[in-house]
Parts: sequence; C-alpha cells; structure tokens
Amino acid sequence: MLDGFHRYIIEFHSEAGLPLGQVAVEVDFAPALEWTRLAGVRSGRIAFADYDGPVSVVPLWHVTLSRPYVQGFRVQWNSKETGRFFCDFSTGYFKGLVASASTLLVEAGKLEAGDRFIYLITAYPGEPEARPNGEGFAIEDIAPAISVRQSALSRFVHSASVQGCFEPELHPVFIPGRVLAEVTSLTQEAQKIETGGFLIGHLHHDAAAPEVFVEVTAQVPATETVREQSRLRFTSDSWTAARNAILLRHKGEILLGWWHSHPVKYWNCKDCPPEKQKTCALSQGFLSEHDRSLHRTVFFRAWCIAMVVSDVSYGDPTICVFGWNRGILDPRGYHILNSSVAESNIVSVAGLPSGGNDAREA
Amino acid sequence: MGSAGTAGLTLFAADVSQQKVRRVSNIGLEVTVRELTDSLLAEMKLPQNDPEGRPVTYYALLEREGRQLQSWEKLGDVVQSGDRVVLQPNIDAGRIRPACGGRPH
Repeated sequence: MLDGFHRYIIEFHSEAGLPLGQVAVEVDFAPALEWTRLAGVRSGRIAFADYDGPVSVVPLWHVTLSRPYVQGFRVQWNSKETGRFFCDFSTGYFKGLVASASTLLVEAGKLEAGDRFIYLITAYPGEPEARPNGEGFAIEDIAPAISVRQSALSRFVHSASVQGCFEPELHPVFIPGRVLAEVTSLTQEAQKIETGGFLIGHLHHDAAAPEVFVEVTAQVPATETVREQSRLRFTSDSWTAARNAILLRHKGEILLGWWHSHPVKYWNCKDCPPEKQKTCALSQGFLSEHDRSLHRTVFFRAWCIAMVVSDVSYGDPTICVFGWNRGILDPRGYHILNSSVAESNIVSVAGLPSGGNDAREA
Repeated sequence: MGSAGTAGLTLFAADVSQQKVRRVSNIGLEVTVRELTDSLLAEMKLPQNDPEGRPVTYYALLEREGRQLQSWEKLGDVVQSGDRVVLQPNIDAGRIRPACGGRPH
C-alpha cells in the first residue's frame, strides 16, 4: 500500500541557466521501498514478515527553491507493531531517469550529445493509475516466504576477510573463496563468450547485533542460456534449472543473486596498451543497462547481489560485486569466507508454502 | 482437468524470484494462459520491454507438472485450483557495445 502519490517532472536548464524543457517521468520507487524495509529490519524497527504495512513516499521540498522543487524524498514505513520508520533519499536517486530523459532533449535538438546541463526535480500531488483488472478475475498480494537463519554475525566475521571498501550502511555479504575461484575458472574456460550463473545461499538475521547478512554458499552455472561475446540470455529454462538445482541440494538455500562474465580481453580493447586497459571503463567491473534491468526485475530485494567477473588481458580476472545502496545499484565490498561456519537455526518467515525458494527445514 | 466450482479457479502465481506472489481467484475456465500472464505482468509491475524497447517474453511454468504452459491454452483445461505458476522471463544480460575509449552502455 503506497500513500502520498506525486507526479515528478524533470526541468532541464543549460549551464547558463536557460530553460531547455521539462520531461514528466514515472519514478520506480520500489528499490527505495526495499532499501527502507531492509534498513528497518536491520535496525530491529521492522519485522521480517512485514510486507504490506502502509508506506508513504513524500517529496522533501528544496530548502531554498521551495515547493514544487525537491531535494529528495522520504519513504516512511508505518508498522502497526513498531511504529514509524523512514529513510530519506537524495535527487541522486533520479540520475538514471535524468540520463534517459536528457536523450529526448537531444532528439529534440535542444541539447547536443555530450552537452552538460543542470536539472531540477519538481513534484506535484496526483492520483496513481488504477491497478489493472484481470479478465474478470481477482488478484491479491500474498506475503512471500523467505527462509531466514538466526545466526551470530561475529562467527562469520571471524572466519572472513574484507574485500574492497566496506560501508557500515550496507549489510554484510559473505562469499566463500571457492565460489570466487569457481566463477574465475568458468570465466576463463568460456574464453571470448559470456557466461554466468546464480548465487545461492542463506539470508541470516542476528537479532542481538541487530543485523541482517547474506551468506553465499554456492554458485550454480546457468544452463539453457544463449551465449555470445557481449550477451548472455537467461531463458525460462535457465530459471527452472536453477530452481531444480536448489531443490536437489536440499539445503534450504535461496536465490541471492547472479553473476556473469565480461570477456574484456577479447573485446576491442585487446589492442590497447595494458596501462590504458587498467584505467579503461570497460576493464572495470560494470553493469550494463540490460544487467541493471535484469537485476531490478529478478533481484529487487535490497539484500540481493550481482557479481561481474572481468577477464582482462593485463592479469588475472577481476571480480566486482554490486548491490543495492539506497535504491541504486553500486559496487560494494564483501567478505571472503575462508572456512565454513557451523549451521545456524533456521526460521521460515510465514508466507505461501511451496516454491523452490521456500524453507522446507523449519 | 480443471476442478473449478461455479466461482471459477483459484491459483497462485509468483515471479521468478518467488518474491512476488499473488493469489488469483474467480478465474473463468475459458481464460487463456496469455490473458492471465498479461494481467499478472501488469499487476506485478514486471517489465514488458527491455531497455532498448524490445518485448520481454515470459513463460508460465506450471509447477505441478514442471512444464511451460502454452499461451493459447485455456486454464480450465490445464490447471487445477490451488496450482502454482511461475512467470519466467527470457531476459538478457550484457548487450553492451564494446568500444575502446567509450563508456559502456
């Protein structure tokens, strides 16, 4: 349930301040809602099973320009049990929309490709579009089942080393070294063709910390894919195979994320000097627009991750992990798990039973 | 095969992550898989086009049988009340245009 609906419009200005035009945009607030929910759960303010509490998204009016200009927005979660919890988001959340909208101005001849511009976000109260009706049938939300293990974070931290920059605002992610070795090996074996798979494991909750964290236990190579040098298609059969693999393992694992390779050294970059390749954007781990769309479609929960293995020509393949950060997909740090951690208590959060991602050991 | 009463079929539908789950009730026996899928995609706000505007194809997997339903099949012929279907996309990663010196997109 989403309250406080507003319509958002981006105003474009030249660097000299001349107005260039306005573009109405449909803002996807779902990642912000997910971020807020996870932040609430991590701080003990929202229950894991709380999926349908009233949520409002309200503009934060610009302190100097004032209404209708915004400097961000607030997502407020209103829980019957624990009261209100909110997270604020800056206009950085709109960056992707701004980039897309600016192409319309280029097409209209108001901007040249590569021009710099200034943008402002405005918001106006409105009514959301009515939910679509089925062909005479009724559709209602059901809380999904999520398998959550009650575990002590400290036991994982003691068995792991930090990789990359770890921000306390992000939930910890633990990945075994052997999983990193496997994806590296599969990337090298695939040579000039993209490959990929699924990251499966457990979601943990440490009520004492309090903290929520992710433990990857395995990677499942994607099958039934269509693979090319710069494209990897996950087909309907790929998802079926992944779910079957999870069920066959019978460890109560869930789908936590996905990984895919970038055969950088086989792209056009192969002719570049190594020193240039080291700083080239293509050699760094990155997510394409399609990668981001896939992640948003399937891995929209704030705890989900994506991994990119870049097979570069100047050394061993590099690994970059991405995750949701305030509703935006960004590179993030993680922990390399050096040894296995003992089993923890498994708790299945209530929801619809059945399905490959459900806990069955509860 | 359908076992609906006068009120029609009831089934459960999930997206591929199993994180969006819907109960669909009062489904007429003549409703096709495509009609159900189209309504669910809109209701679950699942993208129907990729970033380049090409349509994303979704298949409905009937978990009980482990098979993909055909879009033209009538639900009254293929599902039972209480069945669970999973909407699974054919979806692309990558699709970058590698170009030295340029930003990937």
